[in-house]
Amino acid sequence: MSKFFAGVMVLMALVLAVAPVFTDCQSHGKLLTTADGRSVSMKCHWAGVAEVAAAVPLGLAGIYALRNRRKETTRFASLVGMTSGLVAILIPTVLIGTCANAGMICNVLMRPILLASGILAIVASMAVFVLAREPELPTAQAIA
Amino acid sequence: MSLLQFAWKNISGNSLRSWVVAICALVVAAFTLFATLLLRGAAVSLELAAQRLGADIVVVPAGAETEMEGALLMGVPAQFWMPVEVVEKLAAIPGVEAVSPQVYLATLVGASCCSVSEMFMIAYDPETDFTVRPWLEKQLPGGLGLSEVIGGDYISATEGDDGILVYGAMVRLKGNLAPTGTGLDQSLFFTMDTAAEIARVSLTKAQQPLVIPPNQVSAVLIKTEPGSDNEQIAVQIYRAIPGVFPIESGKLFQSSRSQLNSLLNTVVIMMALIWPLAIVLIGIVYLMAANERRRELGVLRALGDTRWYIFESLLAEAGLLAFCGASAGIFLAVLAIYLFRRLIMTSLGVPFILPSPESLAIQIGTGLMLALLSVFLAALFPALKVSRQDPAIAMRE
Repeated sequence: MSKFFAGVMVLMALVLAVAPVFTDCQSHGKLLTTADGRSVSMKCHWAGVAEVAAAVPLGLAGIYALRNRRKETTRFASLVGMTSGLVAILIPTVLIGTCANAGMICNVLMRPILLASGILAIVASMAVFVLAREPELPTAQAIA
Repeated sequence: MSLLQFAWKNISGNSLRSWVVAICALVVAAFTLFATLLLRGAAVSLELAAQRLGADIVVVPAGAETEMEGALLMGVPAQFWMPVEVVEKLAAIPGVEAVSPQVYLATLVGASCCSVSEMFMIAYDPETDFTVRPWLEKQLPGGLGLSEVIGGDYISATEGDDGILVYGAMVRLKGNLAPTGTGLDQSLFFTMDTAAEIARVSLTKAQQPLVIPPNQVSAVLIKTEPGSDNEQIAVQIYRAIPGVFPIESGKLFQSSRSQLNSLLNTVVIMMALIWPLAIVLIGIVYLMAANERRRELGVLRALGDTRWYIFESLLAEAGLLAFCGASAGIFLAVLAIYLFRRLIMTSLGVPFILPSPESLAIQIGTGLMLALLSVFLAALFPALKVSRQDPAIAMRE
């Protein structure tokens, strides 16, 4: 069961890293034209780039939880996963944001994918954390 | 060991069986909830959009009906024009109580002079308006002044506390209208004077000027006299004024309504296939499991457990799996519909509004109950069969 959720963490890391490449406004040929005629990327593109910073630790934590057998280190990996999931949610909502028009492709597709991946990464990391709990040792009173 | 602990041990003991049952419950709950939320949300949204428009008849240039519906429902910017003389001709038609013209505009795509790209904008005439004003009077008793705008639910200030840059002109966002789940939520409303001011500023400050053809309007909203026959008035308009097309409020968004009906039919057919299939699959899994566990259950009976306890434990196991699977399904369905609602709207061509918390709770409860009922129904026969077996025969076989 723990391996399944660790696999979900790795999968969500891949989605976080790859999805923005195909779903930001720039990937659909939309750039911002400045007053002097230059074309620059919209902020959703930079939010997509920043997601890599959340995807890498999440993916590593997932791989670690998949391969590692020590419960203490698995718990630590799941904590890293939870934090990365939270950062993945904060990037398109608070830290950088996406384009202002709710109908733009970044708001229709990229932002929901990133938020869903972030939420699922947090849920999977929490499940790994719970499943990696140390079994309760019998107390002296119980043994007696 | 309590009944639930015993059931949980059995669940952990056979992960493949547990996964199959839980996934069936997940699919039933997720599909039921997703379909119900979508259809209900779309129907409510269509009603709200018609109410927000507040007109008995909408008159647009002939051939622009689909564009107008697309703009109001999906927020796809549209621009079409007809001569302003139409307004006077419409006011003269018997049964018409009030007429109010509107001008439909859109911001530029990817231009730094517009802080929101491809936004649909509606300019209204404050002298005659009877659609936006009632909403404004609740929030802004003084109405909208020059360079002041009111936005749909999704519109927020992009420059400072209340500024939005439109064609190089800074307008002040004075408030937001209640959500409808349609394109109106991402539209901007302002007076004709503000539209003229934006057009004036755009000549020097925008990458492309805002062009409002003189003496032209996009649509005329009509309020009919109480007790009059709207259909008859629409026919009169069609006959009396060439080049325009009247749409009655009841027939507004007809393409979305028919889209919704076909969606409902598809959902009913899919539900009719999925539900029995899930019950049969879970039933087969439990039948196999009951056969596998005959000896084990026989031993339990021989050790003194009653038939009722065996029956109860099997149903408790089924209930636990159904609950876990259905909860996961409900979580995924709510997450998908909440996050991907705009994608669903544009893909299916129907508007959508999120339900109120009470309505959501009722729909979640229905999905959960349906999944629990499916698993109980499927597990009932195998549980009855295995609990009635004689322990001596069960252990010997």
